[in-house]
Amino acid sequence: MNSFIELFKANLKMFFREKEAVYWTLVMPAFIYVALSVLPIGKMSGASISYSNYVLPGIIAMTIMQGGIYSLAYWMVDLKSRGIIKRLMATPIKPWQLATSLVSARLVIILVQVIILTLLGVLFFKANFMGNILSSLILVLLGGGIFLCLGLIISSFAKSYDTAAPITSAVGLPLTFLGNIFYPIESLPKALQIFAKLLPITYLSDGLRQAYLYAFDFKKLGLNILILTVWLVIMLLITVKIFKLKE
Amino acid sequence: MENVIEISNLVKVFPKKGKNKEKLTAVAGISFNVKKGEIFGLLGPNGAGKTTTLEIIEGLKKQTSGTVKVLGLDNIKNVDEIKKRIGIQLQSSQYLHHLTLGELLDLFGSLYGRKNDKKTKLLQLVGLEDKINEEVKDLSGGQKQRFTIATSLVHSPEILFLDEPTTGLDPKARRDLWQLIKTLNHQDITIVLTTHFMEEAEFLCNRVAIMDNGKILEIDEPKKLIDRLSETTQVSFFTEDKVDRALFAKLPEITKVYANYPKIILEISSLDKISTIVNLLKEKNIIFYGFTVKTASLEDVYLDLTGKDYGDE
Repeated sequence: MNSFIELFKANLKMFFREKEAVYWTLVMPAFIYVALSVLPIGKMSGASISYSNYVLPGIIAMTIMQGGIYSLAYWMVDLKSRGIIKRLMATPIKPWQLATSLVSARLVIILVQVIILTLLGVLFFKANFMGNILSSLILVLLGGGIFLCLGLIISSFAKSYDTAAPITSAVGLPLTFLGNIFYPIESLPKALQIFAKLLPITYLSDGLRQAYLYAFDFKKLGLNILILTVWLVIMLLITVKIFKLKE
Repeated sequence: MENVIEISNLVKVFPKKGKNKEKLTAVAGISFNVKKGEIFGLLGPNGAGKTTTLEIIEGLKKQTSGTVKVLGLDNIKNVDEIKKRIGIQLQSSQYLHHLTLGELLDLFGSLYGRKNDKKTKLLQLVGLEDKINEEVKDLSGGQKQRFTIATSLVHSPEILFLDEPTTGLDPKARRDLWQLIKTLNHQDITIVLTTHFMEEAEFLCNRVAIMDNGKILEIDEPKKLIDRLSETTQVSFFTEDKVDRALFAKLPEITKVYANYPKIILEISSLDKISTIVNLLKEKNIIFYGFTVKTASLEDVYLDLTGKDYGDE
C-alpha cells in the first residue's frame, strides 16, 4: 500500500512540476472554452441556452477523454521507451500496482481539470450548474476510467512516440468530432449518427450536459450512467487481457 | 565457500521477428557459480549474451531451459523473494523526471516496502550527500551512475548486479566507481558485473567468465588466466650499435628474438628473467635505451581466446 501511495505521489509531483504539461493540460481546454464563450456566437438553434452554456459540459467530456488517450498513453510510452518501467519491474512491485497508481494519479489530474473548467464557467461566464455534484462526479469517474483504460490499451500497442501518435489520433479524432462535444449528434448525417451512438464519449457528454444544465432527471441520467458503466466494464476486461508493461 | 548463484545449462533463445522467423540464441548453455562475497565479472563483446544472462538471474527474463538458483531460490518460482534480496543497476539508467534524489530514494525504498531512514547515509556512501535536493538531470555521468547504485542499495541487498557500470564514464569517474564497488564489496555485498573493459575486470574481479556468442570460453581468476599466457611477456629496447641476434638466441631464458636494428624484441618466460638480459647487455657494453616490458593482460587472454580484436565498437 505504501508503494502505491509513493508512486501515486511521485506521479502527481512529476506532473505538476512539468510546467509545460500543466500549461497544455489545464490551460488549453480552458482557453478553448473561454474563446467559445467570449466570441459572439449566440444561442443554440432551437434552444434557449447560450452556446457557452451548451459547450461547457462537452469540453469537460473532451478533456476527460484526452486525459486518458493522449496524456496517459504518451506518458506510458515515455516511461517504457526510457527503460523506467523495466527498472520499476526489477523491484518487487506488481504490474497492476504500477498501473493502478498511474491511473489514479491521472484521475486526480482529470478531476482538477473538471473543477477548474466548472469554476471558470460558473464564476465568469454565467454557466448553469444545477448542483448535481454526485451525478457529475460519478460521470467524471466513469468517463475517466473508460478513457484511462483506453490509454493503457493504446500504450500496450505503441512502443514509441512514432507509433503512439497515429494511434491516438486515429482514436481521438472521431471521438472529438462525433462525440456530442461541440454540437448535438442530431446535426450529423444519419449514417454518422449511428456510429456516434456507439461511442462512449457521446453518453459522457450527454450525461454531463444533463447534470449541468437540467434539474435532476433519474431516467435520463440513469441511462447515460448505465451505458457508461457497461463501457467501463468492457474496457477493464480488455485492459486486464491486453495490458503489458514489457517493452 | 558458499555459492550465492548457481547456474546450470542456461539457454535463452529469442524468437526473431521477420520473414524467415529464424531464432536468435543469446545464451547457448552456460554453467557457472558465484561465491558469496566475491566480485564476479562477465566479460565479452556486445551481443555476447552478458546482459541476457544477468536479466535471467535478476528475474526480468525467463530462460528457455536450464536452472538458475539465486540465494538458493529458483529464479522463476521464487522471483518475488529474489527481487527483495538483490539490487540491480540496469544498462540504461533513466529516472522519472522532476523528482529530487531524496524523493527518488524515498520512492525506491517504498517499492521494497521500507521507510527510508537511511537515504542520507546512502547518498554519503556514494558521495552525493550535498545533492539530495537536486534532480538527476543536473548530475554528471559519474554522479548519475553512483546515484543509480544508491537506488539499488535502498533495501540492503545481498547481491548487487551491475550491468556495464562504467561505460561512457571518463577515466577519473571510472576509478571513483571502482573504489565505490570495492567499498561495497567490503561491506559483504556479493557483486556481479558485466564489462568490456579488461582493465576494469583485472582490477575489480576475483573471478571472471569470458563470454562470446552465448558461451563461456574461460572462467577463472584474472591472474591465473593471465599466467597461462605469461610466455608472451615481451622486452624491447633500442641499441646504438648493431647487435648479433645470436647473442640472445643462445640464452635459454629467451624464447624468441626479433632483431631489427635498432630495435630488439625478446620474449621471455617470466618477469624475473629481465635481470639476465640487463646483465648481459652491461657485460657486453651494449648501450641501450627505451627499455620497455610488456606483460600479458586480460586483454591478451581475451584476444588469445577469441582470436578477434576487442572493443572496436
